[in-house]
Amino acid sequence: MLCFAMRGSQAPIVLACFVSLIGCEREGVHAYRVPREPSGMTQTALGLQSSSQESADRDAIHWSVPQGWREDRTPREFRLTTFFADSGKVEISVSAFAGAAGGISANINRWRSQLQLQPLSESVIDHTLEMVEGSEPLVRVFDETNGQRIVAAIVAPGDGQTWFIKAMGTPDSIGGVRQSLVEFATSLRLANTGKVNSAPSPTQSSTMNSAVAGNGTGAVERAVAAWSAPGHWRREQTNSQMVAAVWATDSGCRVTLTPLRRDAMTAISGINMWRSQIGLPVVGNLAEADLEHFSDTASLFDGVAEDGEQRIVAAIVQGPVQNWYIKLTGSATEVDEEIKAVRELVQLVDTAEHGS
Amino acid sequence: MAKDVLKAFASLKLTVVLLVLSMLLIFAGTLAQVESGVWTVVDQYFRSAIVRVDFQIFVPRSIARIPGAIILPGGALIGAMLFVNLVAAHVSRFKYRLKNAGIIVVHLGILLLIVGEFVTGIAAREGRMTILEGESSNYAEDIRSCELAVIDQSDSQDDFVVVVPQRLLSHDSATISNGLLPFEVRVDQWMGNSRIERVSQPDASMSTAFAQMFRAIPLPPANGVDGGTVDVPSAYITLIDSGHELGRYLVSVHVNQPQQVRVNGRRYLIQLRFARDYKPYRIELIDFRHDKFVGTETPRNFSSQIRLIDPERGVDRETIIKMNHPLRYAGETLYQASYKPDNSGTVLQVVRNPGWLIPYISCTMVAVGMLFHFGRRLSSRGVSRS
Repeated sequence: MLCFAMRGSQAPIVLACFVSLIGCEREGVHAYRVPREPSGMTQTALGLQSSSQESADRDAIHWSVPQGWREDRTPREFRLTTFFADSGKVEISVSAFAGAAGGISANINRWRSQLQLQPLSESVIDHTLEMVEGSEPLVRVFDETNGQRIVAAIVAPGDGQTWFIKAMGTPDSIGGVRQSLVEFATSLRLANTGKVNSAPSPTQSSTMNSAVAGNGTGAVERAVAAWSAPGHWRREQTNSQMVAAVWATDSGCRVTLTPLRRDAMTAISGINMWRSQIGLPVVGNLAEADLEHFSDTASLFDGVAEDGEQRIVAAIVQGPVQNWYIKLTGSATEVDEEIKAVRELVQLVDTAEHGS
Repeated sequence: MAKDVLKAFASLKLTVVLLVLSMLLIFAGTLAQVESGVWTVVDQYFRSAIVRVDFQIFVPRSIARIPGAIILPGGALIGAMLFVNLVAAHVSRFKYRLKNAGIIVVHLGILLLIVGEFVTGIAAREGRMTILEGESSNYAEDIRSCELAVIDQSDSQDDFVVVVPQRLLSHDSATISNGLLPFEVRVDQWMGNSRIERVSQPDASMSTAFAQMFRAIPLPPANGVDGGTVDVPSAYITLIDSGHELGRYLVSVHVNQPQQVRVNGRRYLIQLRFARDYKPYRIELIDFRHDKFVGTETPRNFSSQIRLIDPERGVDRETIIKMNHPLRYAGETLYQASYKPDNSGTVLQVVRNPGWLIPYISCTMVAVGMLFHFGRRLSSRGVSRS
């Protein structure tokens, strides 16, 4: 079409030159080095980063963050979130559990043990707590010093939940954040999001002490202690008295071993708790849960979040006195790498409880 | 002979033909956005040498199916020809006198405008930087194209990343082989836009649990009329090492986590993701504000309080990016473009365009040239009447 306006045979040649010039392609396969990003550091433009259990629960609570506090949303076991105050020197944890009195006593005695203090009975504990006047919902404050100091606020907002806001450190540093911690606690409100509460059930907290203390035979604890975990698994200190053992893998997965009394939580409750943690709808019965029949006394749950990112593989091993919950969490692909070792652990616990 | 060629290129007929073709191209390019994305149309129609225009774009599919197409010169070719046409006209026909100065300046402005678009088309880069409060980022993502990243994390601190761009992936049965890659990549199925859904029965032929439990469904390209959507590609690929198939994988931009591949005992991560452009600086989001007029849901202000960290230039400072107040740094402009739905983070548009000033200069030249030309004519008429 263009050529009719030109004369001579030069037009096609000139056109070809233009086309080849314009048609130059950009870069092909190439490589570069970049400093490794910490996990979860950046977001994609699509924003499809999976929402963890912590963030899901966190959305169910409203609060006012005091001046100078900085939130760190790195997921931590049984924490909704973590704050840092006093230029990062003081760490404040925020946790929520379903359940009231038993959970409070258990937690307070755990804090006392962290301060090398003797445990107290439930009736005495009540007298050690300071009530914040006019707080609605009621806020009670635990404040003990024994070398280190712990200040913790306990909030019972209703809905069967109890929230714990805790800071531990030197007496001076904790003294500096005490007031803001209490103000933060009094600002907590339950949002009406309609989300499934994924905190442990009421009975979990109240029964964990006895469960971990070895209401069973202790065979599982001994077997796990003697077990050779894979080399890339790191045994971590558990800061929850509900969990008997925690491992973290180099790839970012987490494995927990939790004993609970048989009457503490039904299998379907546990499965629905895991499903809700990865955003899956709850199921009405075990048949819908699509469990793997691992043995006569052990079943395996394997769930992946709808967006394909978060995955939970968890086993319930039924014992004569207590059930063992072995949970592997992480990204779908990383979990894939760890399943074999987790199955070994399930087998180990199952055998320890019931014999080979 | 050279004179003949020059005369042919300087032809006024050629100018008219090119302008008519331009109008036709703009018309077709506008209609094409009913079925294709804005940036797809920009690339196919306006930044290409040749474009195939389907007759179907002129008639909605609901009315009739129209087969066939016409080949037209693309915007790049028309622009180049107009440039040559105008230069040739000045060389062969125009007389350089004071009374023509206005016209010459106008034409120079137009030539500069064409050059500016070429510079923008070739050198401009745009991307989105998404940052959550308290976090930081040092790369922008181009949501118009993706890349397959093969990541070697054997170094304790740095990732060695080999990137296969989308243009090499977007053909079924394409096999990508390159010395930088630890394996060959065969594209079994490419989906330029897709969704992911869970399957009821795991697909045992796939090599990862993710690929076994999910499948990708191809979707038509996002178009320019449904607003805000982008193409999210996925692909089924097979990785091959020395003729041996390592496995079949589903990779998708929908998935934010890389998948693992082991080759000769060495671990690699593979991920299909929006193309990344790493920056020498890092942006940390301190606070994102989404202010509304009191008592309404009407936005009053979006702003990002950020910390800019550039170790190479020794920069570490805080600033605020907000609507109509971008941050200009290191030849790039960072605009407040969007935000996370729960206001937990910001989305910054990062633009590098070395030719950003050219349109301003060229428009000024055209305006000055026209003022001079018409002003001179008006004044000369006034003189002759008097």
